[in-house]
Amino acid sequence: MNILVIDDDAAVRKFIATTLKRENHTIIEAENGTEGIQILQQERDIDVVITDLIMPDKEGIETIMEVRKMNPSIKIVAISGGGKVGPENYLVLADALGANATLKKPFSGQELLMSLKLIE
Amino acid sequence: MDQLFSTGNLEQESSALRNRLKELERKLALAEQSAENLSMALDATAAGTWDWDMVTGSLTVNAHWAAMIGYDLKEISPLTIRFWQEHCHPDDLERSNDLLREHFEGKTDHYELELRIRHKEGHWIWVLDRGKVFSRDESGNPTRMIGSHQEITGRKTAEEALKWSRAFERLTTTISNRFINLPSDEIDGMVQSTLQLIGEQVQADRCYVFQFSEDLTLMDNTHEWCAEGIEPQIDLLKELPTGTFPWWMQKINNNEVIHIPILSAMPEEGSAEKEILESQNIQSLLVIPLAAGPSPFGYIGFDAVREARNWPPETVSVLKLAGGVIANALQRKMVETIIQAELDLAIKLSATATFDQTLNNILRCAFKISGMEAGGIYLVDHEKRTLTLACHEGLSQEFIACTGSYSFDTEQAELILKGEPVYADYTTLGLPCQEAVRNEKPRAIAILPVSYHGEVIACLNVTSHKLSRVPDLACKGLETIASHIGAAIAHACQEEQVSAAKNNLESLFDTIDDFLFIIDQEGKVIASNAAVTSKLGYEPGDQIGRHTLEFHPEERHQEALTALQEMLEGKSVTCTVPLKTRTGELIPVDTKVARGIWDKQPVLFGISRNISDLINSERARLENEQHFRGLTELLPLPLFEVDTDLNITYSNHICSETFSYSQSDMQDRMQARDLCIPEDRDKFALCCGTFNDASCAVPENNEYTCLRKDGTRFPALFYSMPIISSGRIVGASCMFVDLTESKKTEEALRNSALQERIAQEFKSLIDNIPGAVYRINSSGASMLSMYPDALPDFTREEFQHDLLETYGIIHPDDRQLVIDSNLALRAERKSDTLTYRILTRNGEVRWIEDRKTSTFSPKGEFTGIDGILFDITTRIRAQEEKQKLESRLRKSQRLETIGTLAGGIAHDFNNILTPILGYAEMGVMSLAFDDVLHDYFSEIMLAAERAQNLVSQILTFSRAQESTPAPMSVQAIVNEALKLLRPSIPSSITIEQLIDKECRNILADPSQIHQVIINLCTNAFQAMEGSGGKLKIELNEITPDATMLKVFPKLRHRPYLRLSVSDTGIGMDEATIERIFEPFFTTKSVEKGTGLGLSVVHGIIVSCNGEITVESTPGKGTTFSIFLPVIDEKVASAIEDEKPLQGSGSILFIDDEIATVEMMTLMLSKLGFTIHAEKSPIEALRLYRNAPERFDLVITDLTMPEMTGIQLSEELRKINPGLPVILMTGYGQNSDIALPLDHYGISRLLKKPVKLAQMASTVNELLISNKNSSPALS
Repeated sequence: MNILVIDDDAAVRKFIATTLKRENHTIIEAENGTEGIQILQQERDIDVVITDLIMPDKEGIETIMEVRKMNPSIKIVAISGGGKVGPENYLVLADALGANATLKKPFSGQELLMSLKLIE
Repeated sequence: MDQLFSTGNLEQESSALRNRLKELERKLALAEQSAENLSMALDATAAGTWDWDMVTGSLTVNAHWAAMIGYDLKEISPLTIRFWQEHCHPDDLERSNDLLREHFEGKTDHYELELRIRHKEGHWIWVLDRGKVFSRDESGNPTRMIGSHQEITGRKTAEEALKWSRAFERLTTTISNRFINLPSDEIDGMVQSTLQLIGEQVQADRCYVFQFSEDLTLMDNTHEWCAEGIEPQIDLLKELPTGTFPWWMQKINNNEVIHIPILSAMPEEGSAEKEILESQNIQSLLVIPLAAGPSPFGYIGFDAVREARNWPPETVSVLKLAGGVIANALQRKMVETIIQAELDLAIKLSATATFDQTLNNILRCAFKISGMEAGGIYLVDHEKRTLTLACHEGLSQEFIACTGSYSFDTEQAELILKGEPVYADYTTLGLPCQEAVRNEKPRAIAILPVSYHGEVIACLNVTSHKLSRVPDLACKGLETIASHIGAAIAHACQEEQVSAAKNNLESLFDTIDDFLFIIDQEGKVIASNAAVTSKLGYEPGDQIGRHTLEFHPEERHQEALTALQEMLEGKSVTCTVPLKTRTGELIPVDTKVARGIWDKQPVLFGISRNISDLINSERARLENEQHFRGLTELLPLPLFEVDTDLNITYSNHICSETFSYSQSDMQDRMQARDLCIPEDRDKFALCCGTFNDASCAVPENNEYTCLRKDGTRFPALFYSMPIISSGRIVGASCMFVDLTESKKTEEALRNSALQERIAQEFKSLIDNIPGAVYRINSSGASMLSMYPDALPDFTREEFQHDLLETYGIIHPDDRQLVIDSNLALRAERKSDTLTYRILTRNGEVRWIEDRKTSTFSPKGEFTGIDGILFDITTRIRAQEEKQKLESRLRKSQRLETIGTLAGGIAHDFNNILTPILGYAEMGVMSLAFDDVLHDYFSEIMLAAERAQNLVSQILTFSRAQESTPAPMSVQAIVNEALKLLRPSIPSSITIEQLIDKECRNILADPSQIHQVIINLCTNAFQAMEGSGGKLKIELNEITPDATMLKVFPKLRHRPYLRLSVSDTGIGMDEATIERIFEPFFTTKSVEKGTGLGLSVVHGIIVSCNGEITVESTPGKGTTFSIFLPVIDEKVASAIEDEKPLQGSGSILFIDDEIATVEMMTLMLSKLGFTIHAEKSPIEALRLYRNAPERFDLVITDLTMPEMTGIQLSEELRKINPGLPVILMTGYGQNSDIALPLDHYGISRLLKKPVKLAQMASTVNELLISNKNSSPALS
């Protein structure tokens, strides 16, 4: 599968990429929502978007909504470490607004792969 | 022919003859041809031809001639001229004979005449008869005449009609002209002659006018014209009852023309009338109603007696016109009669001398106008509130006795005072009346209130014993009178009053005791009152014409004359020359006059007042004054009098002695001001002068420094009193009282009084200090003042003893402080302020502020301590509370900051932990189980999981942890938690539960509340672990009071669930309590806790909009109380069982799936909502933009091809920010709960498939809250 990973934390991105590449998925990384959307516009054949929710520039909920608009059939996995005072329950919101799966950080490689399987 | 032969030349002749014959034959043939042609031509014109043999008298006519008059030719052949003569109209026959004669005599070329011939059927036809003599005998007499008849009836009739109608037009114009500007007294005559004119024109035998009585019950024949030989009927036809002509009257009243060409053909309804008409031999009849207004008042009639007549419609209409003219004229006559009556009245009123006459004239005029014969006038007396009959006529004495007066409260009076005219039948008025009134039998009555300046002042009542109804025309007339006589009656009333007033004045004039008189320009008496004649001894009238000088003594004539002349010149003088009686006695008088006009002549009005009494009293006054002066001389006080300019007019001798002046010095108009020193003079003048200007203030201090002539001074009091003469202030009496001696004594007194006053003021001052003032000196302690309520519970004595002497009531901890301070004050002169506690009798602590200062003698010896005590308990308590509040605020702010910080750190930590955990996992997975590195990676994973757990707790504290709030019951959770804890609680600890089972639910995440209870209970039993004790759990509902709201500003005045967990353990000190909710703050050993427990509890409670408090006493125990807002909602599972709520409102529903649209439309319509569904969000947006007021709420799907539900919601909110929007989504596994979606313009999120009950309750909730919070879109 072609998977777009959007997270502002490079370590997290790298871990996800490493985990998924081992499973023979193609990974494209993006640092934030804006970049992610740009990639999506160029690369038509992306199957899954894995996106963090709390990011600078363009945060995840907004990104999910835009992705949904561009491509209603694309699969979305929302990941978040939660936290920061402000709107609560980001993952619940992401779930409601179009994420096909949500994962709470920290998660293991197994958990990540499991959620991808579930949405296939 | 024979002749011709005989003359020879036969052949020639015969040839000529033949030729001639031929020619004749040809001519004959031509003639025959011509005659035939002529005959044919005649035939074609349908003209009748005649050939009259005047020798035999036979008449030959053609078929046309016969047919013209309705005969067949054979029927009348053979004819003679006689037939023609018999059928010709007699009027025309004569003319025909004349014309024929003229023609026979050769005067005319031919005969021609338009004449009438009777038709076979009896009517006349018109023919044009033309003819010419055809042959004559030797003597020239005509023997034969031929001619033609041509019918011209059509033309003739038209000409006749034209002529007739012209004649009628002329007639109408003539009639109209006749009546224009005709004086009303000539109208009757003109009607008479007009009847003749019309009668002749329409060829009637009789022509007449009938007029109805006012009540339409009778009719009179008023005018009549009869053709020659017709019997007049007018005298027989008077006062005919209209009731005997019902059909007739009905027609007239309907304004219909009655036209009866043949009496026998009269309709059945008119049988009564027919009989009467037949008795008068009437054959035909035409009757035209006379009406000037809507209802006829009579009619004009035309009778045909000699033969029946059929009046053509044109005639009828012209007669109607003529009738109108006559009706107007007659009406005008009536109106003018009334106007004339009114005019007469006006003239009479202006000439009327008395009031009674005025009223009588008015009444008569009313009779004349109305045709009624009885009545009266009431006068309204508004003061006495009565109506009184002032004048009447035609009424019985009995009736007047009953109706002579009414008070305002009777129905009669009320009727009149309304001010509106009333026309009625007395019997139907319904007024209460006595027998005398009934016996009087009044019928028609007109009640006409008379107003003047808007007030009813009188009432004119007119009645009739005959008429049942007041005539319409009379109403107007009576109202006109009523409106005009108001002023006349008022004027007459006034005149009567003036006349009465004049009589009163005259008698007053005569009763006045003074001499009143009027003199002319020459000084002669014109009039005087009775006093002049009686007192001066004149006969009445005798004094008139005499010169005024005659009434004065001769020796003073000159003086009197001068005064008189001055008076005549208009000067205001008073003459004091006495009057002289007839017998020579003198009467002292003051005479004054005023100029005026009497009988249009300039005169003097004078009054002479007898002043004998005045003279006597003046004498007495002078004597009194003498007496008074004598007394003042004896007085030992300086007295003097001043005039209004403060010149001394009198002084007693003490006065001049006191001021070292001679009495004559003083009395020679010396200025009283000079008796004072210059500084006091203004005040003195003011004081003396108060009598000149009442408004100026009197100086309060009346002490002056007086100045003697020699310049020496002395203090004195000054008194003055105005001298009043003839009501005016003319000066003042003044007095000085020398103060020289008394001043000396006063000085001595003043010093002692001052001291006393100071002491008094001082005492009052300290008595009013809101505290207790004390003094400690060598003789002991004394409480100088004790402000009531300042220091409750203690008396002055208690304070004096227990506080100042034994220090017994001072808090033991503070006692030394006071003792030390007092010692220090004794050592040197200084002040000190102490704050210490005292204990009241019931053990209450009160705070005292003690301000004191030490006093020393001038020699430096300690003399005592002066102090003042204030109870400052309230202030201290307020300060303490403020500190508590500040500390709480500080604490919550700190926790907030730490929370934010911790939340941020936790988030980053989760990011860090992700690869740690992930790679460790990878490591574990990549290595064999027995590889040592496998163990290492496993350890990393374990540590990472611990870290993950810790971070999760920090997130909970910082309220960033995910939670799932739902309505929940705390009771159940408490039980559950205790069940879990009990095994780990040592037996030395007892558990007490005070759970109120009626407590309502709260909105929270049950697992979090579970955690709260576990944490608090664990803390509690850990605090009692060593010693044992009691763990108490209380659960109840409370509403915070004002004090609590002040300390916990986040709480509201609403019900809260209170959960408190108390222990009897070691307790905490203030410093510990201060930091207890901070993360990682712990008093326990590392094994027992992370230091996060209470911070997590705090985070959970605050995220539920609750509050947590802690009270603790070291060694005694700690109580944690949690306050959580209660809700009325039941636990979530219950919702599904509920029936969907009905509701109302207009909803815009958007979903791209037809199936969903159909289902939702059905569902929501069933619940009572109005629903408009759209498949396209773009279309929905356009619809809403055009009519935002149409919809109360929007429900939209999330995923739609054109635009997502969120984008749509954002656009809709731009139009109306208050619009509630429900977003439906098919994604997600989480249960549907209230989310903070406002940020995205969404009020609620609902997960598909949506349950009906859930949808209904969500929609209702939003509609209600929207209605309550924001007004609908304007």
